[in-house]
Amino acid sequence: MTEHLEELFPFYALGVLSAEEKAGIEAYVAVNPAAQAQLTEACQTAAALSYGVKPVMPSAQVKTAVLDRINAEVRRSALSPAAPPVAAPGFFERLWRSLQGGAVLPALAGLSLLVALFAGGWAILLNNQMAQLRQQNLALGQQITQQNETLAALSEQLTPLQAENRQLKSDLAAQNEALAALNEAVTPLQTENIGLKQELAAQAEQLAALQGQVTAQPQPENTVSAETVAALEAELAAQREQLATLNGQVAQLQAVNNNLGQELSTQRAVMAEVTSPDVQAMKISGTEIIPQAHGQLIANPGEEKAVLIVSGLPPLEPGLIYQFWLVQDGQLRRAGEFTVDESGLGLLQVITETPIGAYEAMGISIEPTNSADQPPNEMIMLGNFSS
Amino acid sequence: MMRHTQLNNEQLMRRVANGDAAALETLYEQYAPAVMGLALKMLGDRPSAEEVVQETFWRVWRNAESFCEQQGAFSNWLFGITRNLSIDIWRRGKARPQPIFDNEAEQQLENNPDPRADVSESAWTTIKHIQVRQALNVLPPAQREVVEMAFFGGLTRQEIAEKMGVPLGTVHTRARLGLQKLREALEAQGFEE
Repeated sequence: MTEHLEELFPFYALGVLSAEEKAGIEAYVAVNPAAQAQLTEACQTAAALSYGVKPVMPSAQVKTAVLDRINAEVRRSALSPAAPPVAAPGFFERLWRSLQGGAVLPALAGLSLLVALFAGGWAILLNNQMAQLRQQNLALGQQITQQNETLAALSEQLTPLQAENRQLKSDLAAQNEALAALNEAVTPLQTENIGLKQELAAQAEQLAALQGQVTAQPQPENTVSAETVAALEAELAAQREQLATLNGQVAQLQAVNNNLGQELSTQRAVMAEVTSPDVQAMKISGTEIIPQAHGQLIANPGEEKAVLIVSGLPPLEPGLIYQFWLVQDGQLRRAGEFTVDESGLGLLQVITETPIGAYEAMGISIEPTNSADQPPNEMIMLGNFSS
Repeated sequence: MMRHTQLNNEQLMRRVANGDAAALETLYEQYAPAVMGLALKMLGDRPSAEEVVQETFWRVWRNAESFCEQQGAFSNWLFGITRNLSIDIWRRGKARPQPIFDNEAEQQLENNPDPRADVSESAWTTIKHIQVRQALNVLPPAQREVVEMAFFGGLTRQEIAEKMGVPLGTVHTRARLGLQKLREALEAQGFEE
């Protein structure tokens, strides 16, 4: 029952329980301070959720309507029925004077009219008061009904709580009996424990005596010979050499692996470039120096990157590289270096400062490595973008 | 009307209970955006939400004497009135609650403010809004959904279980863990009522 009620605390806090469920929880926490604290905490947390929606300003008319309604009520309150209108004394003096002056009929008519108006106003006022009293009466009736419902819910809960209380008392008595039985059982165990401790102490003394005998006997000498040590050291040296060799092989394999990785990365970039939309291929051909060489620059003219693929070029000796050039406004600009594999195939990813379409031509020459400040050698391949 | 910007909520409520309309106006300016946001979230249409805002502050005025600061913060009491009114309206079928995770629709509603409104005084509610949103983002989606369905959607635990297609016990567990995590996240952010 208790467990079930506490399960509902989050929903109480989130405001989605029925009146009956709410009444049950309120009755439960009223006599359980720990549960009350738990419920309050849940309510505070849930209340913070109201801020979880972004604040939105209502239109100005809403504020005006609220304040108008309030001000109207303030004015109504000021016109309290406790202060009925009072006629000015001057009026009655004037009326008396007119009666004395012989104008009796008009004066009586005026008086009757005044009384009728006053009675009408008073009746309206009384009606309003009666309506208000009826509303208050209705509200009080509703409150009484709600309180009766709450009372009924509380009464319903009382019976199971009483039963639970009786059960708890019965459990407590059973536990007290069990405790007494345990106390009785402990005494022989304590006696047995003392006997065991004494036995343990005797065994410890025997062990100490045996250890003294063992220490008094002579220890055997170390029998490991110098030859065995030398043999082990030699084996260790041989294993170290083998390890060094293996480390060297691993380093070589890593270097090969890195090269393959770079090559794979380049090929992926080439694939990406070749398959992208709006790509164009611009032909580059070998000059009379290496006439069999041919290739293509693949690029989107509007982008600042391209891929150069050439074949038919001989592998170069160490210290030499193929230099790729782009021509813009008649000026040669270095656009990347590359080598070729044994089959004469070379790949170069080209990154430029301006879109590829801004260049006029391209060329390839053979240059020494680190020749950045030197004028170019003769071109071995040429290509014109306009063609 | 005289403004009471230096008074705290409880002092303002005591003045409201004594018939001080200026005190009510000060509370309106502080809380109307948050009340409107909450009603808009629950009802999904602006006219109904504005009706709730108007009725909420009218009830604050009429029932000021029944407010008891020992029973909780003023904002909790105020938002409770707003939620109850909103639930009443959508249960009568006058408006439909917003889908819980329809952020796009919510954004559209929120981005359609009254151009005549002065938003400068609602800055502090915006800070609280950010803190609570961040705390809500910490919750696992299933727990957050249960909490939001109940609080903003006004759905009972049975309705939530039916809608999510899970046993009632699961809904209980998610709600309990959700509120527990929310409290921890709010404390971590230094959220103050």
